[in-house]
Amino acid sequence: MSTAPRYSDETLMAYVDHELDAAASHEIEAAMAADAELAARVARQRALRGVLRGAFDGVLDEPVPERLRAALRGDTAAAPPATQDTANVVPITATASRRRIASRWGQWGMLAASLLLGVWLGRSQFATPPDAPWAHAQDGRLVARAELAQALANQLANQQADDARVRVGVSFVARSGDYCRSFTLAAGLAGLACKPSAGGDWQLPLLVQQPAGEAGAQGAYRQAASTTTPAAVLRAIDEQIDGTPLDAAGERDAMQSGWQRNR
Amino acid sequence: MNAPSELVREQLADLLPRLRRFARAITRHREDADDLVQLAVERALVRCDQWQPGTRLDSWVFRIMKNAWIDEVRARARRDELFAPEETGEHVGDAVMERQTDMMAVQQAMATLNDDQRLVVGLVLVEGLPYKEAAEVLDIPIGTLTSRLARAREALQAALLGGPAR
Repeated sequence: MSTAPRYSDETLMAYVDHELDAAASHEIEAAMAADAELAARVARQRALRGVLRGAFDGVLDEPVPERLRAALRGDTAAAPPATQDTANVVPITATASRRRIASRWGQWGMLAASLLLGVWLGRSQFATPPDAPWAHAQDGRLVARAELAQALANQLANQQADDARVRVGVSFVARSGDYCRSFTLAAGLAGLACKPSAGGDWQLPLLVQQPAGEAGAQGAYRQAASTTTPAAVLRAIDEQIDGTPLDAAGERDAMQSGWQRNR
Repeated sequence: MNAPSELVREQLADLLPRLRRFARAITRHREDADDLVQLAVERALVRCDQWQPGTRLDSWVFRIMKNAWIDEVRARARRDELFAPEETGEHVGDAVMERQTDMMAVQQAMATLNDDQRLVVGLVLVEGLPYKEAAEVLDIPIGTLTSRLARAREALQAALLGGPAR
């Protein structure tokens, strides 16, 4: 008959965490010597601690990114401030988000955001089919038209064909109070569109080119729009969203109101 | 506000690898980890006269990181709803494969924990802070810390090592 105390898991955890005093530790070690089951329990706790420690220790050997060293030096040219002023409405193409887009997508994000006007005005860099003019420049901004404009106005996220050439993603209310929707297009493009509260065309504050991996060697484009939203667009949604994304009912209501909110 | 001394900057620079490790343990997306570290470092520099020389600098910065992370939680929660699974695959090409796989397995297991549990695991099990220090960083009683830790470890045991301890 054993009168040895049963040690709780928490006690054994404290033991492997070196949180027990010498007397308590010795008591447990003596008990382990006589009790195989106790020893096994301690071994499991040690194993878990070892796995957790080891899994992340590799980070210590990684070279420290220069932007962190720059931040320590107060060198804001090399490390633009990470702090977000949440009191102001941050335009989607503001510097902070543009830099994050650049770091995540390499050159493509910057190219898309800054040179898209040239793309949409007919350069052949992206194999945009001539019969699907998705956007045009209006007063210096990109606006949606044709297939894209129709999808933004009428397409619900949960009623899309697998081979749709335009897919809508997340619909939400932005900090500006306007409705915005993310979308992807065949040809590996994705972006955000916002409907001005005063009505008119959907504005396209953000467009990104998804990595060329799925495009053919000659710049051939995917026939269908991607079902995944690139991180750059997700970040922009993150920065602009007021509240949570619209659910199916919210989307329907917004569509019925012509994507204009009464304020 | 005093300008941060060279000594503080140096000590923070030495801490960067550990700050990065803690951030990787608690954030859900790898690219968020360095953003979090940068944010914390900037705040630490601005508030450097709030740190008492002689006290643990790492605990002080971990506390700043914890608060910065909590500030970001609402944004993160929405991002997680929109998370595209393909993205985790993008990082599996680099670094040592085996170590990367271990880290990913652990990160997936940690993804099942709630934010409070992730913080205690990060501070105690990954960064090795004593219970008392970790409890101070989080502003919670030690008893709360140990019970959160116990629940987190049970969940991780189940996910990683196959089933709870008898």
